[in-house]
Amino acid sequence: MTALLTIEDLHVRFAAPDGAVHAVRGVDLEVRPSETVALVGESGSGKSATALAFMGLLPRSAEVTANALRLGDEDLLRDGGRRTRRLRGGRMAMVFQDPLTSLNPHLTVGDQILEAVKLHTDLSGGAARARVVALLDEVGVPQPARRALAWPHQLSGGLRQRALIAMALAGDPALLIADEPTTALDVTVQAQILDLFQRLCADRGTALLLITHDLGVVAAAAHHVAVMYAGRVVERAGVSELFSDTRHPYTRGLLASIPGDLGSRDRLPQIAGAPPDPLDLPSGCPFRPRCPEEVDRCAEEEPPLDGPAACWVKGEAS
Amino acid sequence: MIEGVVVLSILVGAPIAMLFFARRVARGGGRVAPFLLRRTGWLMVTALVVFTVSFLLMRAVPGGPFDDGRKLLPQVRHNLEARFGLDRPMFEQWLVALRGLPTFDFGPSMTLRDFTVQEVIGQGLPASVLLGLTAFAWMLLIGVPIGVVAALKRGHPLDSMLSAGASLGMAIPNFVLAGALMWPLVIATGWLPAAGLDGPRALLLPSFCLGAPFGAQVARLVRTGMLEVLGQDWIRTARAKGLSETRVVTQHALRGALLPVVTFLGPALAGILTGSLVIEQVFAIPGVGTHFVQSAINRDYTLALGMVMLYTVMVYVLNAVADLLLAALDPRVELT
Repeated sequence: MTALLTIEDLHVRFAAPDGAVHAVRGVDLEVRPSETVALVGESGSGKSATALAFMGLLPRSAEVTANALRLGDEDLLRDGGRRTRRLRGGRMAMVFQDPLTSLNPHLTVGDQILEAVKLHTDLSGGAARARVVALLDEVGVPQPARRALAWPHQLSGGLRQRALIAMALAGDPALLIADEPTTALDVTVQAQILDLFQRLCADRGTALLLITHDLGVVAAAAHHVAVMYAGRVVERAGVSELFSDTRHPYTRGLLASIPGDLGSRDRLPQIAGAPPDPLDLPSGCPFRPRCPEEVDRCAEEEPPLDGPAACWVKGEAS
Repeated sequence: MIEGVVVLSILVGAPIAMLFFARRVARGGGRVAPFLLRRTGWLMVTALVVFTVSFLLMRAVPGGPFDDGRKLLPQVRHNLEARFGLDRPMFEQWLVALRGLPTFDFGPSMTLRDFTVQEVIGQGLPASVLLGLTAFAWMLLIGVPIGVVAALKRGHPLDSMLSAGASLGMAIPNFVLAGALMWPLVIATGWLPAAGLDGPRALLLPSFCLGAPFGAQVARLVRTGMLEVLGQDWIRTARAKGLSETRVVTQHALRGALLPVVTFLGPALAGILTGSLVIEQVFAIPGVGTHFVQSAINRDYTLALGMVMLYTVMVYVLNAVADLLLAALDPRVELT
């Protein structure tokens, strides 16, 4: 099956006062139709930058290069981003992290969804308005006709995220990108929103690229997982392989730090050290300073991602 | 003729605009009726205080309406004072004037013989309002586009040029601007009339000189507001929808960027009103501005009181309209 989202050798650089930050350093990623892929990593690992680069939503100061960025058979690298804009909100849509700040406070919720409906469908007037209410209903907003007239500040965080999801669905996208869609919400609401994504994607056959740092979310929702560290994908696997046959020491560290059946231990295990400074990456493997399994070769050469994990010791260690 | 059209369109347009704002505000859960009631109540209190203070201050300064250098026979002076009721006790004078306050019927002017205060205001106000409104239009016409362009071209030489121009524009007093523009546009080329208010062409220069300095201030406000709004998450949401950059700016960013301007409308309108006193003098426009200064100098008690109350009411009402507009644009604002 051909991929719906294709990213080959994506690089993103941001200009910073003391040198360029190389935030994404050669990411390859594929999402096939109707499947859910989780992109996992700490803040600063480049997962959001990867998604924003694909959507063409990075600020103009960011430098984006890639061998290929494709949505289905549409080449997003051609004609200077115009094609990307045409597809944005239509065949590909994105939901962001913070629903409290992601809606325009000066327009009603319904009007903001209506904009997307008018832009990506042939509907207008009353039919477009009816579609807005239907979308709000589909994402589980109670009293959708009344809520469409509400201003964002009159709704709770969960309802606002649902409204933003409705907006993303307006163009009936084949690909939905969700950038930490539950992080800013209450724990109880998080589960509901996650369920909603799974239901919507199953019902509509929408592919989902789910960006998260929460491996619990990954286990519950994803088919495939890509783990990012310091701007690269360091491990890629099906979700059950990732949990049963973890190859990269970084991923193992992440899994160990999930709160679970810890028995009487009073502290969560955590990965020692901090993520590397993107302006001053260590030589060789960027995870080396924090890695418990370091060998000599790690300092000399950065391991490529051929096979499931970008690690020199993967086979022997596990 | 043109003044008549202005007055008519304000009388029709203002209530429609108020109704429109009010409906929007009410939809957002704002309570318009209590707001209007409260503001009306405060207007009455404010008007009473301003009225009393200016009534007393006028009479406290030395000199009176009939001390214009000529010697008056005691009998003549007595007759004059009796005619305008100035021989009555102070409290009675205050009561008589107060009775005229609701309709601006303060009786005859004391120095402009044969004219009542109502007539003076009635003749001059349309020209002043016309001048003020056109200046207001200039202010937005200059300020908003310059502010938007400067923000979108941030850091570009064009931005620096426009921002420097705006700072300069704020620093130049309107009468200096008038003098500077009069030479090329009036004296050297004869394109525009130098004075008076005969037709729309005569209005161009004075209204521009009155509005431009405020336009410079609006440009700075819009630029700052625009830069702040463009960094917001919901602008990224608007882009993620697939809106073109033009529509992101006009339909999402501009509304937020204009909020500081609406807050500035109250002070700006007050400034335009007082600025028009000078501009009316420079361009010999038959508005009320001249009377404002002259009545105070001449100790024309009745006319001065009328002018003070006119400006009080105008500033107060326009501020209330600006507040209502702000609530209409930003549903999170509470009407107080």
